[in-house]
Formats: sequence, structure tokens, C-alpha cells
Amino acid sequence: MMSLRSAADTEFCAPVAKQQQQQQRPKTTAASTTTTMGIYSVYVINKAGSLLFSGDYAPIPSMDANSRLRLAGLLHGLTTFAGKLSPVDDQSGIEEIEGDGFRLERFQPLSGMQFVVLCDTQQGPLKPFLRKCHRLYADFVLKNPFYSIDMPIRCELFDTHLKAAVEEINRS
Amino acid sequence: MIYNFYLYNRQGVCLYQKDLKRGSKQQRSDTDKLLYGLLYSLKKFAEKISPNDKKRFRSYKTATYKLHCFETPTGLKFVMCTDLSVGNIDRDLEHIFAHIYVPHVVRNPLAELHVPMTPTTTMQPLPSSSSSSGKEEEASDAVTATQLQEQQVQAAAAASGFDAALSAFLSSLKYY
Repeated sequence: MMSLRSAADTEFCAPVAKQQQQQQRPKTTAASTTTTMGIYSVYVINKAGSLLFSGDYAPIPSMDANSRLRLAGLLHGLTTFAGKLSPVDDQSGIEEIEGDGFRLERFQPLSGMQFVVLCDTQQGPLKPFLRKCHRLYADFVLKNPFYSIDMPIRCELFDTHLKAAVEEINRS
Repeated sequence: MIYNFYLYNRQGVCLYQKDLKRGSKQQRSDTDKLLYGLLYSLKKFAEKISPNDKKRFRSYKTATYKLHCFETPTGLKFVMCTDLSVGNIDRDLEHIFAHIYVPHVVRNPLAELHVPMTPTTTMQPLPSSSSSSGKEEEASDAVTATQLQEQQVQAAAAASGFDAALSAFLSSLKYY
């Protein structure tokens, strides 16, 4: 009887806790819009320039899937171009694009995969974060037996771990 | 270290180009056109991907060099390639526009605005006029030829004024 009651209690309590969380959530996002936001979104592009994964982690106007794909392809083209136009011998691609309202960092390991992060201008260097993304990709995407290579990434573990990594940066 | 400097007008014509590379590789001749294409696409890319109202593209960085771009509201593009140690140089590019380009080119009635600048050192000689039938025609041809030549010389003088002022400014920069 006792155990039943406690279960009922927790059941009863759970919605309240959820409500509290929901109440708290908008507050934090409102606070973060007024201050700096850190990471806006993360993209994973394969070596041929097609978009495998994209995630938004800040309240920014969302883009439709088609323009995301197009931008990923465009970035891939731009980066090879920038390498070709290098005034010095080494022809490596774009690592960082700076604009007035955003900063974009790109990391390309030897496999050719591209990890791209879009953040605000105040954010410090994100190379370690991009390396972490690469590690998460290796751990939770490539080791997933149901994932076939060069296909869009739909792996829950990758999503959750990436989200945790982004939140860790956005909190600090 | 500054590798090179480019100036484009609104139509994408390279008005001026200066290579300051010391010990870097020889570049192909159509680099300026390719670079304009890259800048145009980057501008569009920045407009699309920026999550807020500030959509201007400012610079990009590769493992070996950094490219800075400053665009005026009239569409002039001031572009500079430097090494990686250089920070934000918008102010310097703006200075080149406001205190070198405007006084030496825009306010100079002898300078030609929308054609590539050729300082006197790199000017091409005029092709000799071909023989014509009438004496009068020949005379008028000669007149236009001398006028043309004069114009060209004046424009070249204006261009070398700009060139000299720019070189002086660039060599005064900390990261030259």
C-alpha cells in the first residue's frame, strides 16, 4: 500500500516538476538572448560537400533544409577556392570566416569530413570543441551498426552528446 | 606581413592590384578575377548564414593566410591578404578609402574612375595610327591620338599618385 502511494505521489509530483522546468526554460533563453549566446549551430559535411547533420542550439531564425544543403555545398566550394588562391605554397582551405554578426569555424580532419560551428563574435576559439565533435562522430555515428556511411546522421546518442557538449560551452 | 592588396569597383573590375609578397609563390594572371568570384560568393554566403541583422562579411582565415575585405556602400571593395597574426584591419582599409582613394582618385579630375589604374611605370605605349587616305582625316586622327595620349598620361599620373600614397601608408603599418 505504502509503495503504491509513493508511486502515486511521484506521478502526481512529476507534472509539477515538468511545469517548473517549462517555466524555467523560457527564462534562460530570454536571458541568453540579451547576453552572448555562444554556439548557434553545428554542421557536419562530408568530403564531397553534402550535408550530413545540422543542429541549431540557440533561438535563431531557422533555415529550411534546402538552403542548408545549398550553403553546405557552397562552403565546400569556397574553401577549396580559397586554398587555390593562397599567396603562399600551402593550399589548405578556410578555417574561419568572420562577419559582423557571426563567426564560423571549420575543422577538417584527414578523413575529409568537415565539422563546422557557427557562433557569435564574442566566442573564443572553438578548435577543441570541433575536435570533440569529431570524436563524438567517430564514437556514436561510425560505431553505430545501423549507420551507413555518407548518409544523413540520425543517431540519438550523437545528438544527446553533442547537445551536452554545446551546452557546456554555452554555459561557460 | 601583407601579401597583396586589391581594389574592385561595383562591377567587379579590378581597378588596382599590388603584390607585396616577399618570398611567396608566383600567382597566375587571372587571380584577381577568381578572387572577385570568391568574394562575391562569400558575401552571399554571409548574408544567408548570418542569424541576425548584421550580415556583412569581414574576413576569412586559412592555415596560411588571412583575407580582409572592406566594402563601401558604393560597392567598392578593398581587399588585403595578410599573414595570420593580423587582427581586425577594417579601420586601415577604411583609411585607404577615405584618405587615399577619395583625395587621389575621386577628387582628381584627371583620374579615370572606372578603368583599371596603370601607374606610369607599367603604362603601355599607344599603338601607332595606321595610314589613312585623306590628309584631313590623318590630321584629326593625329589630334585624337595626341588627346588620348595626354589623357592617358594624366590618368597614369593620377594613378601613380595613388600608388605612391598607398605604398607609403602600407609601409607605415605595424604588420607590413
